[in-house]
Amino acid sequence: MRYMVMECHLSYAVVLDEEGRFLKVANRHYEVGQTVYEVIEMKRADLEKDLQKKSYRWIYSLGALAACLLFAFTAIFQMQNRIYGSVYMQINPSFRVDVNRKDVVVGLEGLNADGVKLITDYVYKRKPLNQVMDEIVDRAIEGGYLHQGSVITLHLDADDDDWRRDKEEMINRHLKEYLSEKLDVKIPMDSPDVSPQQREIIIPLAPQREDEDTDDDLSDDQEEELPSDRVSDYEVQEQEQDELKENDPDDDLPISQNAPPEDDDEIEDDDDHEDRDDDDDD
Amino acid sequence: MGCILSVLKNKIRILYTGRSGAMQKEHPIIAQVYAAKEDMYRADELIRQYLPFIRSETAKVMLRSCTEQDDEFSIAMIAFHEAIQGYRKERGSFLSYAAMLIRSRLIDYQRKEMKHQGHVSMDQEQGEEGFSLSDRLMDERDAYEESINLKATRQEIEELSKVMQDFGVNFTDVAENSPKQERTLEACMRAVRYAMQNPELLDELLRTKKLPMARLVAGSKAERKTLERHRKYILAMLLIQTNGYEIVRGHLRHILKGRGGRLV
Repeated sequence: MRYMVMECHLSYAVVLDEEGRFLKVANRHYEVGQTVYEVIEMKRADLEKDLQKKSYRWIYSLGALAACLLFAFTAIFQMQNRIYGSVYMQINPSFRVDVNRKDVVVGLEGLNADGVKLITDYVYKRKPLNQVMDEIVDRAIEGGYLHQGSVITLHLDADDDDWRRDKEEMINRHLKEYLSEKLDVKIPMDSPDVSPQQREIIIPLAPQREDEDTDDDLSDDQEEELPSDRVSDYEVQEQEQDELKENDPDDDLPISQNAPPEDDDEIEDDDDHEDRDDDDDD
Repeated sequence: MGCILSVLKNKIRILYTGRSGAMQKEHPIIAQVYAAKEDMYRADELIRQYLPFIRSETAKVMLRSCTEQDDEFSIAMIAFHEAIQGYRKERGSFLSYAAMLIRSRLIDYQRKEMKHQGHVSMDQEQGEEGFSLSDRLMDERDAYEESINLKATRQEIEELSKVMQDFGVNFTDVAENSPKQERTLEACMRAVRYAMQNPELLDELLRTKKLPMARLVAGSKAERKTLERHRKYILAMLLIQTNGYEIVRGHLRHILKGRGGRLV
């Protein structure tokens, strides 16, 4: 390559190569107009590029940090909304309540027309499972779907068996406590792990009368005196359910028939349901 | 405990004074360096001022005394110039930075020279008369003619430099603005060839003292951004195409050919 020397300075010269590039090179005693064949190019352009790269490097770091944060937030958001388990609740209206790992409700769907109607305008997001179940139960009571003697069937679905077992117990206990203050209902758990004998957890049907002893510790011999018509209805329901169990024990227990109109008597919490369980076992 | 604290305080004071003392020495240099970045005459002045420093650093690498005739000295000077251009206050002391750069360039040069050991440069001065090989190879030609050509070339270049000054541009500016990448160079050359095919553009340039950028972009089909970025370079190349610079055009002969090898 031939270089024509165009300008000379103390420390460098400007040369023009045959391809039309002007270059700053070391001035090795050049004269303007001289043609040389070997030059040592000044590396200023590289320095500038390095400086520019370095000055903009922080932008790339910031961009990478922003991308990481966005990814982390998206992952956290998705995890929070990820369905960990579902509780199928059947009163007569049927619902599916989806929860995340922390038992916060992330989804609620009515599974039949009454179910859809009942949860219209209901805000469930970010509420704990127990609260949502309580509020649905309250709505069902207000709507006339849930009353004395009704049956609430619950079915849990999750990949984690431990979670399912824990939740069955927890929901069972919680609803019993909640409903025992309001109504008498049956809450069978539809679970393959629960034996048919354990499926039904019955809260006493009849409310306690005012003049009766309100002591909670009732002996086995003591039984509440139920109105005769209600007793017979209950017996009918039991018989029907037993028949159904015999035919296909894996089916969900049918929804109970409507109990006769309830009295206005106070319903007191007692432990008779345990006695009833013992009776059923018999 | 009190003794230990007082010793520590003294050490801290010395360090601080030492550092601030060095910085105080550096401050005038830093101001000069930043001024030299913008002005090549100030850069030359600063280099002239620090010639002994440059010579000393070169001698350290060469392990012998250095003269201004040595190539290494020229390389050290350009390295010092690079240090002026590349220096930032955050990099610490300027002289340390310059010394590092000089050492680095000289080592690169020595490695390159070792690769070419046994080879002789065409331009290397040899013998007592100081003629280079290229000079000896041209023995058949008239030395007088050669010196006339050199003078003519110099005059042409000086004339071109004067015309460029009317446009507020010098060869240093053009070198800094010159495209390095092949693709960019080709795009700029397309614009220059288009102007050569349309001489009225060159007339307009000389008359208005302005670059007809819009027409060059439209005619060459190059990106406007590319041509704008290398404005000074395109200006210099267009001026070379005007009357009076045959020797420089002759040097660029093969790149000014159009497609198919036809000289435009």
